[in-house]
Amino acid sequence: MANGLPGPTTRFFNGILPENPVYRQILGMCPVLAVTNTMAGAITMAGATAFVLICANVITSLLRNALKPHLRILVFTLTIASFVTIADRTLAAFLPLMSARLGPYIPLIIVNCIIICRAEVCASKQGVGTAFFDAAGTGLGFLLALASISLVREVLGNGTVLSGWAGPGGLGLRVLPESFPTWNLLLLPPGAFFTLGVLMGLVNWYSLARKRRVAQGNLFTVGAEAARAEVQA
Amino acid sequence: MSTLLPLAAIELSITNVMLLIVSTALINNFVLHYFVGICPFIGVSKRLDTAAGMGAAVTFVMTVAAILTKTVTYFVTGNMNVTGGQPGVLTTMIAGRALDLSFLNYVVYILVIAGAVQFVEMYVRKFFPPLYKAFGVFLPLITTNCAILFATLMIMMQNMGFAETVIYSIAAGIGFTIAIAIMAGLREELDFADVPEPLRGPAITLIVAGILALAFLGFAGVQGPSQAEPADANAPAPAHVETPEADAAA
Amino acid sequence: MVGYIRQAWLVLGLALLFGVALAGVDAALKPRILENARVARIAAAQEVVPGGAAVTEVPALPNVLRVDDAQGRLMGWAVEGSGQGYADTIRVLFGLTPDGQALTGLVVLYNQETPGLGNKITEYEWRKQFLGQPTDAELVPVTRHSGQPREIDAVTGATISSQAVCTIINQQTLEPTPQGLAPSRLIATLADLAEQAQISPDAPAPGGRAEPLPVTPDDVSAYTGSTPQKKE
Repeated sequence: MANGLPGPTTRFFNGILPENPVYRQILGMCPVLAVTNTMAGAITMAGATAFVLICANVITSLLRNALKPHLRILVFTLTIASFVTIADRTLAAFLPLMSARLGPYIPLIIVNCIIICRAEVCASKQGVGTAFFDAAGTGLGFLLALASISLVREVLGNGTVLSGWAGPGGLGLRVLPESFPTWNLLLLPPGAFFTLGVLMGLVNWYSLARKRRVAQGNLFTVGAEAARAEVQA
Repeated sequence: MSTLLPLAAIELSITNVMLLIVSTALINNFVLHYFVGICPFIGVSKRLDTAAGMGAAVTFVMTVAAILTKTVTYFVTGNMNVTGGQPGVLTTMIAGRALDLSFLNYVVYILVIAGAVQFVEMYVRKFFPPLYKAFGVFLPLITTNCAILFATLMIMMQNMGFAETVIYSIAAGIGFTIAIAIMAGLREELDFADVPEPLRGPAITLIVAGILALAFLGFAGVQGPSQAEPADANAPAPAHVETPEADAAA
Repeated sequence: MVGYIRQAWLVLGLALLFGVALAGVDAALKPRILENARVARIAAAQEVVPGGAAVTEVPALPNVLRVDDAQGRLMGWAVEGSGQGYADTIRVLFGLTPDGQALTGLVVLYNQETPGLGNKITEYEWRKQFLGQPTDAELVPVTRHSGQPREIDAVTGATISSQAVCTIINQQTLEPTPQGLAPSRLIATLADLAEQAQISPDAPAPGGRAEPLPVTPDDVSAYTGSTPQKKE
């Protein structure tokens, strides 16, 4: 890139893992904790967020040359709020149960820091293609984070996956036997904090261990490609 | 209930107001039950005095924003999207029929909040310099604080009256301040703890927050008189005459 | 002024553009959203009144739905009520016989009760206790059942949620008077309406249109968040 900013491919893959919005940048904590007690809710939420993220990024990128610096945030907010309303109405029309369950958390996408962060960092400086892939990568990273947290919470808390979407009577696919004493606590608010805290610790532990191995020059066990990405990050 | 402005959907008795405050500030604590305002909760809550300043700023802006958005909703846009919602009073009067503008609510709310924060900042800086010194630096951060938007959304979705709106937003702000202040106190101590390396930073904060949320779960037992006496098996009819409104408090 | 416009033309233009776009989206999706809410209400009303086919609104009683069978005979009423539960408001819909003297069913429309404890109130096994309960006195949640009518087994560990549901129903069916609890005005109104329907069974509810609407059991279970029930 001429201006030293990463290109579309780098942006896309950075968004997924190396700069994962949840585990690495600690952004958008509100939906991460609030809607992850079922996988169905978490995936819907991530989908809605990704939709808004992509639309807002593309629009911002299109307008980037006309933006006045002091009105920038206002334009971002206006764009995001409009697309959130579209997402909210669409969910209410086509997934009414999910819309009722997520309730006020769908409109809260407006203040999700991930979106305004991507608009600031990438879309207001780079072209439409890059902005699109950046948003898609970040959205995918957000989806991965939400899905991983909700997977832990739903499996241990309820013994199922995808309840509300799959399985007999929409009760989910049972992955743990009925006799398993489900950890109801994980479905409750404290469980959200515990799960995210522990998962974040695991991610940190993994990257610390990898960094240590890289530092020892033991590149063969890691793979040169991954190591290079790590050093860049 | 006033004929001019709806004050509240519930009867404003002392019991109901107390219940509303307790349930908003403690039981359904914004941070520990609804998870809104987590960013400053993790980011700012490192020292007790900054946390208290942030809490005060959020409470103040939340109340102002809640009143403003309630006014806009009631008079202009309406909240026809929710059960029991009604169209805006003024737009109905002007258009001569029920006009549903509630699709504009989200856009209007966030713009009102952003504007309110700007004005509050200017006003406080000019007229209350000591107050500005105490929490002025947090004001710009508050626009993207989801707690404010969440409060206005809850007020819209639950169709609260004006008096209820004020009580709810102040109580929510108090709850936010309590949570963030307790957290700051804990984190000041956490600095001296020997935390395993991977858990340092946000991870241990989240786990501590989980324990705090667990403690706050206990408040859910604090509720109206409904569960006072588990009915005795030998007494088929209950002796007490119930007061229906006491349990109906939202 | 000109300076302002030069500064803000983009914001103003965007606001206009987005406003129009949102109005368009809203206009396009609104019929569907309203239809969803209607189907959900009707499905729930059909579940709480056995044999119900046609569901109509009752003018003057916003929280009541009239339920008729396929031949247009009045089968009962579905009444919506809400109250504070353990975590948040609970909204329920319960069915009443035409004369309002007994309950015919109950579904929980909205709850945020503790998963695994309080939210057992949504399960059919618990809800079926309300079937046939008389409405002339309070329903009481008990921990030890003594075989008396009007006793509801409280969900273990969730007395508050169980009490909340009973209280919601009691509030709709009973009214405090100086002499104690008496049947509420709602019950009296419903009984009157039922009598009128008896006299002229062909006349539909005033202002309401009988519109039978086929709804699959899946819709009901999805709406009430419970397993499809097996009716004996």
